[in-house]
This record gives sequence, C-alpha cells and structure tokens, in this order.
Amino acid sequence: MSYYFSKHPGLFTYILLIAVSVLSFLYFDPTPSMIGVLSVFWGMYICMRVLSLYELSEHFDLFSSQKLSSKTSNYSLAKLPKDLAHRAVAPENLKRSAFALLCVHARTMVWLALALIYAAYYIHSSSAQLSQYDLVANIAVFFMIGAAFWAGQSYAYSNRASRILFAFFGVLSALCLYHAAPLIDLQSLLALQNAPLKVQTLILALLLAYTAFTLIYSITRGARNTLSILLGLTLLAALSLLYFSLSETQQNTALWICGWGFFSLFWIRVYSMSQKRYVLYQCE
Amino acid sequence: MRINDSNISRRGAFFFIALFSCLQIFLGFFLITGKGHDSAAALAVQQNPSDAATDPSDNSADTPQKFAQFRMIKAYEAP
Repeated sequence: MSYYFSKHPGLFTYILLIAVSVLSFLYFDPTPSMIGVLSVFWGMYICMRVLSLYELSEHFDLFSSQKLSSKTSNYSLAKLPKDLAHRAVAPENLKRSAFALLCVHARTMVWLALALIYAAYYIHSSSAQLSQYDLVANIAVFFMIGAAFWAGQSYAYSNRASRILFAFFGVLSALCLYHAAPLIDLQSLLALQNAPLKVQTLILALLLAYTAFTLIYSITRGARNTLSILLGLTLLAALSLLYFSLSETQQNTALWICGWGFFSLFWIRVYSMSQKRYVLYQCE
Repeated sequence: MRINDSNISRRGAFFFIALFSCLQIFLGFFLITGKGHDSAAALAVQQNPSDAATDPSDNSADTPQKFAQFRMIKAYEAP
C-alpha cells in the first residue's frame, strides 16, 4: 500500500460507510450502541479527511509554485524514470485535487451552521420528552447526515468519482424508496397545513430554503451545469416531501443519509464558475 | 473563495469540521458505553409511573438481569 492510500481516506471508505449506515437503518433497526459504533467510524473518517484536505491546503501554494520536475531543485530524489514521470504529472493532479477544497466554501459552512442550529434547537425542545440517551442517539444520526453531505462534496469535483457516486447513490436511493414507499402517508403532509407552526420545523424549512436559494442563485449567476443544478433542486424537493410524509421511521433516516449524500454531487456543481465568454473585438 | 485564496479562512473551516468530528466520536463512545441508560430508565418510569405500579407482587425489576432487560426496553422505546 502506498503512502498516499495509507494516510488519506478514499472514495471506497466513504462508499463503504454510507452503505453500512443506510443498510443498517433499512434492515437491522439499529440499537443506540450500533448507532454509537457507526458514529465513531464516521467521526474518525471525517477527522482523517479533514487532515488530508488540510495537508493539501497547506501545501498547495508551495507545490504549485515549485518546479517539481526540475532535477536541480530535487536532485537527490529525481533518480528513477518512474519517479520523474510522477513528478511531471503530480502538479497537474494536485491542481485538480485542489478543487476538493471547495467543500470548505463559505456557502457550505453556512449550511453546516444552519444544520447545527437545527440540532441545537432539537436538543432544547426535545430534552423534556426524550431521555438523554435517545437524544444523543438522534444527534449522532444528525451528524451522520451532515458528514455524508460534507464528505460527498470533497470527492464530487472529480468526474470519475462523481460517476461512481452517481451510480452508487442511484441504486441505494432506489432501494430506500422500495422500502419506504408503503409507509408514505400523504395525509400527514396535508395535516401540516392545519398544524401550528413549530420553531423546529421553521429552522428546517429555513435550511431547505437556503439550499434551494443557493442553487437558484448559482443558475442566475451563469453556472455551467444548469442541468445538474436543476436535478439537485428536484432531489431536494423530493427529500423534503418524503421527510414530512414519512414521519420518524428508520426508512426516513436511511433515505436522508443516502439523499443528502446524493445531493452533495449536485451541490458541488454550484461552484462551477461562470461560463467563459469569448468576445470578438473589432478594431475600427 | 477561490482556490488560490489564502489558507487562513480554510484553516478556520477545517478546525470547525475537526471539532464536529471529535464531538461525533465522543457521542459515539457515549452511546457505546451506555452511560445514559440510567437516566433513560428514570425518565421512562417518571413518564409512565403506572408501569412500575401495575403489579406490586412482581419483583422482576429487582432481579439484576431482568432489571437490565427492563432498562433496555425502556431505553429503546421512543415516545
């Protein structure tokens, strides 16, 4: 195993964690201890991913300015042809992988802050009804959803990884929908109209509205991948509808972990900057 | 934020997410060790005192094994 793969958690680890989490919620009805184990794995994975991206962030400027293929600056190391070839390609790869740093963009950080506000208010409002143990289990599940969303973005900049993730999440979403379809109750959606508006629902609605607004804003600013962004909006609408029509079931949790992971593929397309426009200037 | 921006803003974001992951690990260990079981059982009894008083002759909760089972069931029943 090379140095890189031994240290940096890759796409396979992410896919494995998502699959284990979603399947355990779908089939095994996890106990709080199981949720705890999953939470520890997710936390360790996110910690490693942060360290990996931090390393990239700190060294990016240094590497991008250095001529790594130069024999004069790295004389002692540039010995083998393989090494030389690697040195020729490495800066280009590094430049591309620097797009993974978009996952710490201000827009995503605002999303995470809103999600944390939602979790904090959930603790505040439910502490009287739920025991401390159940509350912690629910918060751990919230964090899993946030982690699935955040970590998905750090891979989705790559075309190959996003294709793999698209196929994976497509299959997993279909599986979740297959299990959740009999439980969908549209009456609870209609009942929301008459129910008094809770602050908790309001914060969740704010989070969803912020997400939708960011997507729409990027379209108006001339983002390139309009189709992807529209698909993301559709997915977001479907997730919201399913959340309110499937009240507090394990299938709903599985669907949200899978759904927000899936959504991260479309969210990263928001950052594709505006189109290049070539203008022909005519000299008079 | 463009890719060539300074690292300072990114460091803050990484720190925030690292804290979040540490908290997640802590919550995970809290759930695995099961330190909240006692409060869960107490709250369950507080909410449904009738369960504890339905059958006074039933001393099943006194037996350590059965009490543990009782606590587990109460802990997993989401209200």
